[in-house]
Amino acid sequence: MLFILLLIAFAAIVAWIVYSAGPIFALKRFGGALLVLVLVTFGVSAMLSFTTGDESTKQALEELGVSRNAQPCVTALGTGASVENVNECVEDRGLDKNVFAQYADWAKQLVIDRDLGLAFYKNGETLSDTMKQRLPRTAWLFLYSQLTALFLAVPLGIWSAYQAGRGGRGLPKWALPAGVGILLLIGFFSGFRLTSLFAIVIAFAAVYSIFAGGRLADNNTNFLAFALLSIPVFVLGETLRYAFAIERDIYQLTGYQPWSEGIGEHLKSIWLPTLVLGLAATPVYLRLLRADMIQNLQQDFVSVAKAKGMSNSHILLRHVLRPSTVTLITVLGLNIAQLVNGAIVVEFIYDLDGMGSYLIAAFARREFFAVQTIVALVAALFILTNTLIDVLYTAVDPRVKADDER
Amino acid sequence: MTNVAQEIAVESQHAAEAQAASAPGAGKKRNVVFSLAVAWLVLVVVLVLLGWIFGESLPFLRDPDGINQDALNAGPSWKYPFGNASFGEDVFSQVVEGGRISLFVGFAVTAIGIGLGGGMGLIAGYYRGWVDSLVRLIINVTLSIPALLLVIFIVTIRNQELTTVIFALSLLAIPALARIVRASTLQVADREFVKAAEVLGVKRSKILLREVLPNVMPTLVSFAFLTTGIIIVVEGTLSFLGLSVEPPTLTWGKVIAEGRIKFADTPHMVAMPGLVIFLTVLSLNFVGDQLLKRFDIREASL
Amino acid sequence: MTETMLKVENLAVDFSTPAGNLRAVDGVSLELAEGETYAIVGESGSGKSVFSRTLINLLAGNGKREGSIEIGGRDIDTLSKSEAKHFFGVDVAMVFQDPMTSLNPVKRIDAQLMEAMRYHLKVSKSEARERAIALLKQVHIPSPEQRMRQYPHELSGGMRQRVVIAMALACEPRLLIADEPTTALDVTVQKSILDLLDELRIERKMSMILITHDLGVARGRADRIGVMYAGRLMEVGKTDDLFADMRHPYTQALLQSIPNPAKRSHTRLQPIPGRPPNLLDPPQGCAFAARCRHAQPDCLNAKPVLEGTSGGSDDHRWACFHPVGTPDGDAALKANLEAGANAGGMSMKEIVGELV
Repeated sequence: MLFILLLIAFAAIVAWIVYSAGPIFALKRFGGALLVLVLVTFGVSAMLSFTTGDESTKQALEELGVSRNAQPCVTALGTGASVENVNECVEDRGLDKNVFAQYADWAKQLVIDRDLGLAFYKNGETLSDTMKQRLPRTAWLFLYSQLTALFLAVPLGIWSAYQAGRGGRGLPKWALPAGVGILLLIGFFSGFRLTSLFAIVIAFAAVYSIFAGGRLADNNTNFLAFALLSIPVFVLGETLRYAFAIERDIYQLTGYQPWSEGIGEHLKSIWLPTLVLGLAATPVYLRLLRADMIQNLQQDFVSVAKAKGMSNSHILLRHVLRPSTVTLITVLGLNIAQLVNGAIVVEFIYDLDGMGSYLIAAFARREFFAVQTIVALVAALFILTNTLIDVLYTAVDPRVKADDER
Repeated sequence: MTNVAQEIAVESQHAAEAQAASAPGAGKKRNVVFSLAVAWLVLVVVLVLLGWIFGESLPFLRDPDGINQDALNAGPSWKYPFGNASFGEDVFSQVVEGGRISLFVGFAVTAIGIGLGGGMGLIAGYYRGWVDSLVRLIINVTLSIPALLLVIFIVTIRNQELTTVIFALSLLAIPALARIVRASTLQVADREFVKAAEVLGVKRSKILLREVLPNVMPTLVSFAFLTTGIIIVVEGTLSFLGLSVEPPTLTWGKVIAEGRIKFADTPHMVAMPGLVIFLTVLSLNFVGDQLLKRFDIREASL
Repeated sequence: MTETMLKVENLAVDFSTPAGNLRAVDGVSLELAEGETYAIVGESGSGKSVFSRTLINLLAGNGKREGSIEIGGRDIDTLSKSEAKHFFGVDVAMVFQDPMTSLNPVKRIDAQLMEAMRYHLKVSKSEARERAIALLKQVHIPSPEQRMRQYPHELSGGMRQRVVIAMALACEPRLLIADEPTTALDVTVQKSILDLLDELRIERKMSMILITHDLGVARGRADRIGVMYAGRLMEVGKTDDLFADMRHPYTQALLQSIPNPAKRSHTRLQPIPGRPPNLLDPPQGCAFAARCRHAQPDCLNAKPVLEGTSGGSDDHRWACFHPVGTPDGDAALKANLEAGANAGGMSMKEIVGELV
């Protein structure tokens, strides 16, 4: 049912794009996207078929009475597998066939039979079952983290860009380092926990920046975003896990609770991973929005609006934010890849049984058929979203001619 | 209408602006942070290199696997600035040794990325035509798979050797750099001096090397720093997940992965290497960003 | 004379830059009656744009204003916060230089026209729409109903400038500031825009400040002219007086640097040599002294003040120690020609060129 609804929605969007941007343009874009998708999945397929172990492994396998290319099956089935089982698996997966036949098999199964195949070959668990169970977790994680990131980045970006062009309160520059130094000294001698001390210092810097205003505030925000951007997700995730789940008992690693358990339980079970993923995405959006807004704030039309006597908030939100959001949405689409990377790490850190941790398990057990399917789905999601955004962009903003150059 | 006086006035304004920008005090604060970033990078590289060449004969280094019964899981101290691991191993020495792989991979992949990716981008952006279409297709195909997914994929279907890790990470760096260099080349190729050289009948390969390349260089250098930072993070993630070079080789990510197992006892094993990675990546990003700003006049005037 | 519309006294604007203090406007005073046009003429960088922006409260974050501005009898410093909110953009409005960038590219014309009316006058949407269409008609835009739904990029430069003018008129201002309204336009369109501004000014009994670098434009359109250089007024007066009896060497040089249809068609244009002073490090004396053909040693030491001396009518004033057309000025010019250089050390050959 959901599938059909999605299909209808998709068809409607496509129809609208064809109507507003012209059929040739739409065809070119979607055709290009389809080509990329086919090449991606075929590339994955090809890499799989070329890497079925080195010559000695192959010979060893042959001596055991199984196919030369059986190595992925052996790994998937584990050490206790019988020769028959392995051979059956090789037959199932078409490991003896050439690349093109393997790819055709895989594509036929996925597209025509609409069968995602098995998640774990050994116990016969299907991938669609696994996804039914695990995908919601990752999907909620994605959604909440993006909302968190936007919730932090948009107001901060607007504020920061606004402050960049203002005089500010002219507080002395040494006040911030001095204040931080004093705080650190007090904290050090009164035996605060390092994590609390760190939080206090950040809070102090934030309050100081908000109070100071002007260039100083903008610089501080920008530097904070820059620093946040430089923290690897796994370091950030582990640090927050230590602060909230180990040193203190604020976040319980009890495992995921679905919506049916109540919204409170649901959010309680997932807020920290969400925060980590959200904080990782925040500086990307923040810096982009800020730079874009500063550029737009220098445009003449802002002076014109000011000369018309419009209020600052009106100018910021109605005149400047609008052109800047278009870029933001584009990056939102591109950031899907970053999200998938983050999900793999965050789910690993917080033992969240989502698609990310499934991927790691599948890799470890050489469930390459399933991996290939998931890579294809992720790539399809990525390509489709970005093509849609790209085309929508052209359809919405008539100034932008479809630019194949970039 | 052309008013000479007006033109001169505009010129003088530009001169005044340039003067204002170069006046003492204007860029001072930035320079301090910039020097700090460079100093940190030099410090890290020198320490790791010294550790590589002289090993434990250095006064501040110990055997990273050396068991020390007196300091199991001990926190940072004067003797062991980064604390000790669960068998009392010196974390500082582990981090110094782990830096070999982390930094080497970072630099090697960036060099490969610049060489191959930069070359691809230059040729695609300057010659256009079918080469460009091909390169664009390669870029689009590679970049539509999330980076970590691609790297894990390659490492698992092959093996966890250093060459495989470098190969996998290069697959990320090459298209990313190719895309940036291509965009930059397109811009440069559109400028008057390139067109002029073409009109004069200079050989295209010569124009590419003598006119286009020097003007793409700044972008390339800036992004070399940024790419190194990204690669160090991805390699760190990979070893954190236990998918980079196999034990017993140490990397920064692996020290963190070990520290997180008994997290309550050894938070310093996460914090210290984490801090080192953070500061290194921050410095690389900062240097790259500043170089971008310095080279790019348009952005600098913001 | 009718009521005074604008009264500026001793206006100075400073910008604090990383390289030091920059005084962009320095001690400007002027008065403008209702229905009059006052042209401010100067090269770019002379501070005329900063001056005009200051009048409508558009100073950048690092700018500071001194001196008083009275618009329609109200000192803008005495306005309460709520009054100020509906003062700029209502009683005083501005038309900017470049119509290509003055309009927000992602908003339709109607939204941009109506927003000020909706905000300041609190009119209903439908009324605002009617008024907007009427405004577009007034600025002679054909089929305004259709234009309302278009984006700026669908209009030509001249059309856009008309929209910008309509936007400025939306709240029926009594004082209109036009900052080089025709500089960015084709020559053919320039005249029609200036005609339109004149027409609207007379129709609405508005006062207008016309900022331009073109003495020719100022001559045809303004009742009075102020010549600005390095943030100071060099010479002010009724247009006719000023052209009949030019006193400041800078005004003279400015006039010689633009084509003059009254002269023989192959007369050489005379550019002004040298550069305007660096305002971060302003000269001690007259700002123009270094490039001036009359400059004497005393010009380098003290700033001349704006004053009328015998020979001019009471509101024709100039700031020069050795004005053109006086025996003193002629003597100064002669002395410089003989010495081959002015007091600032610039060669007279460069200043006066082949006219010598």
